[in-house]
Amino acid sequence: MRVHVLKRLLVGEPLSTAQARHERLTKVTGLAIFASDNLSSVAYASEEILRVLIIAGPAALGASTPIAIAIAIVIAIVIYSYRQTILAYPQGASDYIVAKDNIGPAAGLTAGSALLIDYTLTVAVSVSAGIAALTSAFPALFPLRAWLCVGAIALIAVGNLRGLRESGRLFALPSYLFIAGLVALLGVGFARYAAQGGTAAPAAVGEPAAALGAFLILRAFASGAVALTGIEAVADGVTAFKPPEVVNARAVLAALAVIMTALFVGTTALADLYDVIPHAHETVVSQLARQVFGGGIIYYYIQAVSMLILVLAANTAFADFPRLAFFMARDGYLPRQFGNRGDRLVFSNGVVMLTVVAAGLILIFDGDTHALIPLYAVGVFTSFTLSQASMVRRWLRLRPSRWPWRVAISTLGAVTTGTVLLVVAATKFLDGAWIVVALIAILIMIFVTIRRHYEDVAGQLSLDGYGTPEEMSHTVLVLVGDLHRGVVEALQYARTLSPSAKAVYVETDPERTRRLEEKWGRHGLGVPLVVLNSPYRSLLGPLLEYVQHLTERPGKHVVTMVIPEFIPARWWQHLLHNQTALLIKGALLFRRNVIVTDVPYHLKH
Amino acid sequence: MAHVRAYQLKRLFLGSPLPTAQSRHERLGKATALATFASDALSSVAYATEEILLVLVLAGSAALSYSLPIAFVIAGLIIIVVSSYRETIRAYPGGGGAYIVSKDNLGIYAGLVAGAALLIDYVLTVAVSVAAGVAAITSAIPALFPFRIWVCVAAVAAIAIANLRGIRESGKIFAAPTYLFIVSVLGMIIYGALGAIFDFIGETPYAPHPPGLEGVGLFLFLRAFAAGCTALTGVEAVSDGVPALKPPEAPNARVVLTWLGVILVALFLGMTYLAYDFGIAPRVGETVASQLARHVFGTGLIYYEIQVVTMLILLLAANTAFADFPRLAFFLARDRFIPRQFGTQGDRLVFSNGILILAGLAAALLVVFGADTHALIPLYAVGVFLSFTFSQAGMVRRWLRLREAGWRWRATLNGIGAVATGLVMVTIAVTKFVHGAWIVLILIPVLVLLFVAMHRHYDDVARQLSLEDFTWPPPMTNTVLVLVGDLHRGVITALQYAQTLSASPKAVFVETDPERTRKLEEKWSKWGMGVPLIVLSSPYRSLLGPLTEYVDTLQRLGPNHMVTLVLPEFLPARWWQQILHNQTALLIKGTFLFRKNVVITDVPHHLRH
Repeated sequence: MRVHVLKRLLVGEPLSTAQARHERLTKVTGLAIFASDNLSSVAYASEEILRVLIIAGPAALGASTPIAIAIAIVIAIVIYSYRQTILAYPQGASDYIVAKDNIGPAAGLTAGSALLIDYTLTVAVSVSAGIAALTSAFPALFPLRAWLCVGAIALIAVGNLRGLRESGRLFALPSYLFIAGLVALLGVGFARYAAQGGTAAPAAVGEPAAALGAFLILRAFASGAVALTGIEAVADGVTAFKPPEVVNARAVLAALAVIMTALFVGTTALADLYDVIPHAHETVVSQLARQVFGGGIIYYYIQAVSMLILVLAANTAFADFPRLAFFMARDGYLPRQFGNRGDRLVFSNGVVMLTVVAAGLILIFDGDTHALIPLYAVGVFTSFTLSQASMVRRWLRLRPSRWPWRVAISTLGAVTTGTVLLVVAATKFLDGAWIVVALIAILIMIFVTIRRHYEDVAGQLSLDGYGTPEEMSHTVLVLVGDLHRGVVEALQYARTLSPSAKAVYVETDPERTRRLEEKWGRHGLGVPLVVLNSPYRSLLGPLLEYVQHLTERPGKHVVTMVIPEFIPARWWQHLLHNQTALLIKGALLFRRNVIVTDVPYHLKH
Repeated sequence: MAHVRAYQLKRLFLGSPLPTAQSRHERLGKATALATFASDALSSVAYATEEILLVLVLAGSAALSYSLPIAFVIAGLIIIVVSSYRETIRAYPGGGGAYIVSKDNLGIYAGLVAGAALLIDYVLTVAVSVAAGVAAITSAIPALFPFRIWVCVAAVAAIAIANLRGIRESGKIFAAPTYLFIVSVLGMIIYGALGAIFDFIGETPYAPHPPGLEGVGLFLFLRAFAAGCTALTGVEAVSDGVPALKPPEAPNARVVLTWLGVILVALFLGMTYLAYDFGIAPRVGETVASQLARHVFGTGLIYYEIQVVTMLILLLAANTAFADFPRLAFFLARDRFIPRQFGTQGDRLVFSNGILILAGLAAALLVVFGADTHALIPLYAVGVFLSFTFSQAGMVRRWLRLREAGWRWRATLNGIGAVATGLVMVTIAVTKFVHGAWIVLILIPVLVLLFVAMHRHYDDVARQLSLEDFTWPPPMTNTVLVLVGDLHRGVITALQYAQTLSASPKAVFVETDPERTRKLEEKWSKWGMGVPLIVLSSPYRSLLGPLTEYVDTLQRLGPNHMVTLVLPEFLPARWWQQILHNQTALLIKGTFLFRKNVVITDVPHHLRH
């Protein structure tokens, strides 16, 4: 009862199934919800590039702007491809579904496991980067960062258990505030740079640890590729838009492309102009804002909205993970519990699962964004590549109008993302990408095993070719250890089941048997009492033998074992009574044609 | 499968089950009985002297010579207590533990106090004996000293397994070390005394007496005396265990007890005297007994033999408690003061639950107190002397009441015992209060309260279940419902089963999606076996809400109306497959568990591979 009240308080009143259709998003809230994941990576993608380049010394940081522009081109290609995908899949085009439909189940499962990992990492990375924005502004909080992260995840999870639309309203504002904040930062930053002609030269730094070679540039590019994470969210969530869904989703995707490339390239270029060097305790965006605005209110505003959009970006994954889990559960690749909607119309099991795994990741990696990044991009680009390649197959097969153009676009997308995937996997392999590669393989095996099990069960339960069932006969036994009110009730009950019910008593002490038989004469309701002898004082041995003997009768003979059980009013009182019923249930559970029935007798106080 | 493997493991450790009829043959002869019951009392010789010296040394090593008079007083106390208990055995040939004697003669609360004191005492016997036994070994092999806690825990486990096998076999294992210990220590005392008299063993080189921390005062004497009284622990074991002896039980037990008293006094006085004569002072890392043996025999084969048998008798002393604790628990459970699980004998004729609890608690104590004998001793003696006092006082009441032949003499003897042990108990409680006795003094009333609460619960249950002036309920009617979510082979088995239970069972389906309902109804017409299908609508997709409502309406049909809910459940062949299926059955069982007149029946459908 109390748990129920708590649940209502946190999660809200139950919603009826018919209400499902009304939980839809407009373009404006849709952009905020689905774009937050992608946009928020502006807060750390530039920094990840700089962190790699700094290995070759501060002079190498100048390479960051060209790298950012290359990434921006990839972003444009991928978004353009996804706009095609939406057209083909108006009911929501998860990469899992697209790959499964067009290439085959193996590709679908690869994309699915890559995405599940990716969503989990989205939560972990976004939340830890959001908390890093907070601890940059308030260094005193730095030691507590792992717990702050876990607290933030719990908060988002509760928001999501309440349901999608309310979450949308909650999350629309910070996305726009973030866009506004960054636009202001870039505008003022570039204007000030133009006016002053640059800042003071950076302090001299020690010898570079490595030369700026092709491998380092590729690594920097691979790090910056996290800027693409979250682009697929819009295509996955088409059905969450208000009708006309496809048109709205495509518009949102186009807007996202413009905003994203502008902010990302702008931030990277500005960091380059202001000679920002990555620092362990302060993020690059925080350093930039501090240099442009000083430590005033606008600086704190930028930090606050960075944190908000990052924490809320995690929310995208909370919409996507349960939805993907639902699709995979529907296809029998995940436990079917992920396919149930809770009473607030959300897939509660998926939300809870995501929360637990992401919080676990944060604690293991101690809330450190940079440690998580190498794991992140592999999954994302795997699913991108598979999804684009599937679209190529699809256009070639269906040949809709203008199909050569569409094939060209999707092929460009597939080749680009595939190349990036190889670069990321190769340059980040030792930093953690191997974990994801191994995990994808393991997950695929698990999915296949689960699916095989469900198919096997369905086959065993199927009624196809099932003849008339064998005639069933029936013996009802009541297991007694004494004769009291609880037993009398069980005897009464057994008699309603079968007029020829029998009581069974296992004798450990002849004296007690005598006393029981005496009582039986008065209160036994005329039910015959069978006494089984037990020289070793074991209850189970003789009982199992007797039941075995009964079930060996010809035909399908079922034995019902009625166990009178009194239920104490308080939990601790259970400790004071023999757990005989439990023991017997455990022993009989795996026997065929034996059914155990508890008849509870409820005690007062 | 797992069940079978666990069973084989159990047989390997514990042996084959024994039939009830074999119970009588598990009896002990006098010689084995002395070994089994004496080990507890005798083993305290290994540390009682040391405990006296540890207190006296606080007043400087010059004060150590006061150990001798203190030991004499304690020896006198031993004689009084042994004589008293000989009378108890005569009166209680069926086993006269302090619990039973106090309960019979002083009333139930006195019995419960004695019972609580004894339960604590037995746990401490195990902890103290094992800690001291392991100390004997770490004295000989100092390299083991850092591992002493884990060595102790392993020893407790080993003793517990031996006891789970059964009492007579334990008796056999334990006879040899007890006699070896008696012979070795007596030999050491005689050889040492001869050596002192004829001067072939030197005194320890004279060290100037360091000034003590405290002056020699009455309080210090009393504390030293209280510490030495641990020598008496375990004397009661014989009178508790009378029925374990071969017939005639009572005379045999009296002989065993007399022998125990004689040997105990001889060993305890001899050890204390030698320690005094050779000027041995207590030291961390080596026991007094070890120092003594080293001094008398040098660090040779005989020294190691003495350390080993000392360890063995101490470990085996713990065994006495493993016989006593479960037996006392059985009596308490029979009188319904503790959970009745303690009242059932396992298939090797021992009270397995008592043994397991004792082993668990003792191991925990050893870990908490870092396996340090001296830290545990202050907790130990209070409980022992409390139960002595109650038991003796109970006997006095009994003699005064029954007035059998020679009752004056017997009452006087037990009276002296009661007064003496009572005084000692007060002394211990006062002098050791801050050192840990307070824990026991709080624990005893807490346990007594628990006993009373449990007793009240059992009485209450018995009253609620009693058939006396039981008015027969109206005849019972029963509606059988089969809860279905789909129609497959498992459901068909359940429908068939429901039809054997009732002539008119009904199937219930909770609708969350009208499309599924349509499909189900289609299948139903073909495979439904003529059972009517009731569809309950659920707008919030909850299974439980509509179901409980429907069950409620059914129950309003009649005064004694039962609803049987048949749940078709398929059982996967492997445990992990369980997580792949909705746990609906579990959820429903949880919901209806506390509702009256609802019976849940699982009909399992076993899946292959």
